[in-house]
Amino acid sequence: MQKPDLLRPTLLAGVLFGVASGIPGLNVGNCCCCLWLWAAGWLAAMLYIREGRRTGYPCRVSDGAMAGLVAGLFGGFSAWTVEMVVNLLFGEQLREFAQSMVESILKNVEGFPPEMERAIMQAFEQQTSVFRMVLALISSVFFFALLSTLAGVLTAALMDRGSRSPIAPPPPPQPSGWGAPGTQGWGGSGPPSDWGPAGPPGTGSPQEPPVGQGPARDPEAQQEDR
Amino acid sequence: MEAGSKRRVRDEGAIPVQGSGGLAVRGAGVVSVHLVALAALALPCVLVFASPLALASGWTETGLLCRSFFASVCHQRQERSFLVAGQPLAVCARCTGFYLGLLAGALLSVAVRLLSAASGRSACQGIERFAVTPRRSVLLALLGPAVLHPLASRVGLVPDWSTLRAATAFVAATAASMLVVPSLAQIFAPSGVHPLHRQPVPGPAATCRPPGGGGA
Repeated sequence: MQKPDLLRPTLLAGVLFGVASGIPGLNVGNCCCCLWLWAAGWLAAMLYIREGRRTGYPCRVSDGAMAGLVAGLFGGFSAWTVEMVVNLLFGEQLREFAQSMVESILKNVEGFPPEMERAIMQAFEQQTSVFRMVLALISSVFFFALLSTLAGVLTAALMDRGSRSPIAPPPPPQPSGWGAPGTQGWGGSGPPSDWGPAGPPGTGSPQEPPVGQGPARDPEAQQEDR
Repeated sequence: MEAGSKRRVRDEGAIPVQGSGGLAVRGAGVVSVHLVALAALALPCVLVFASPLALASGWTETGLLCRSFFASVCHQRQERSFLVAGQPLAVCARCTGFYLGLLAGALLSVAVRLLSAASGRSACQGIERFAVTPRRSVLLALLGPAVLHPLASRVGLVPDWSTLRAATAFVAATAASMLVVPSLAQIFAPSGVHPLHRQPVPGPAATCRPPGGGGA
C-alpha cells in the first residue's frame, strides 16, 4: 500500500482547466455553472483515486477533498496568470470593445443612476491597477479552490462506495497442487499451461477458462451444445 | 490490494459509533479547522449581502467591488437575482442558495461537532454518519434536484422560479458542505478527527498472506 502521488494529478487537472478558464473563447465553459472549476476538482480526484486503487491505497472522501483543493489552487493561479497575459497582450482592444458595449447599453437604459455609471467607467479605467490584479488573484484562487474542493469531495464520495467492494471477485481457494508457496495465485504466474498464456494480475475470471482451452466441461452442457 | 481492503474493513468495522469519547473532539485543532472553514464559507455570503446594502447606502464603489468579486463565477443578471433594499444581490438566485447552503452545512457540521464534544457522545448520529460515510443514494437524492432543475425548467416540466432555483442549490450545497468540513478537519488536524475518518493504520493484516500461499 503506497500513498499515490498528489502533485501530478492535481497539477495536470489544475493547469489544464485553469488555462481553459483564462483563455477567451474557451472560458465560455464556465458559463455552465463554472464547469471548468468543477471539472478541475473532478479530474484531480478521479486520477488520484484511480492511482490509489492501482497501488492498493484506500482513498477516502478527505483524499478527494485534498486533491480538489490542491488542483483548485493550481487552477486558480493558472487562470489568473493566463488572464493577466491575455490582458497584457490584448487588454486595450478588449477593454475598448467592452467599454463601447457598456456605453451602448447604458444609453438605452433609462433612469440608470449616474453615480453607478461613473463607477462602471472608473472600473474600466482601473482594470490594470495593482489592486484590481490582486483582487482578481484572490477571487480566482478562492473560487477555484472552493468549487474544486467540493467537486473532489463529491467525486470521492460517489466513487467511495464502489471501492469498498473489491473490484475483482476474491480468488477462490486454490486446488491442491496449484502454485507453490510464494508464487502469485491466480494472476501472477498464471493458470496451468493448458489454459493458455497467463494474463495480467487480477484480470479474467479464474472459474472460466478461455473457450476451447479449458478443462472438460459438464457432459450435460456438451449434449445441449450438440 | 487484498491486504488494503482487509485493513479497511477492519478499520470501519471496529469503530463504535456510540460510547463515551467515541465521537468527542480530541484537541482544539479540529475545532480551529472547523472555524476556519466556517469563516471561509461565510465570506461569500457576507459579500453577497454587503453589495446591495452598500449600494443602497450610497457606498457605490464598495458595492461594485463586492459585485466584482463574483464577476468571474456568476452572470449577476438582475432579473434572476433576489433584491435586498431595492438592489440586486451580488449573485443570482441559484448562487445565493448555493453560498447560503455551504454556510448552513458548515454551521450544521460545527454545531454537531460542538454538541458531541459537550455531551461526550454522538449528538446527531445520522448527520455524523452522513458526513463521514455518505450513502451514495442519499447523496444523489440531495444533489439531483440542483442538477435536474435547470434542465427540467428549460423544457417546461417545472417552473423556473428564483425560489426554486435557490432551494435546490441550497440543499445540494448543504450536503456537499457537510462532507467538506470534516474532510478538511481530517486533512489539517488528523489527530482530532472522527475515528471513522482516519486512515487505516498498517497492522498485522498488512503482513498476513492470503490462504494458499499466494501473496498479492
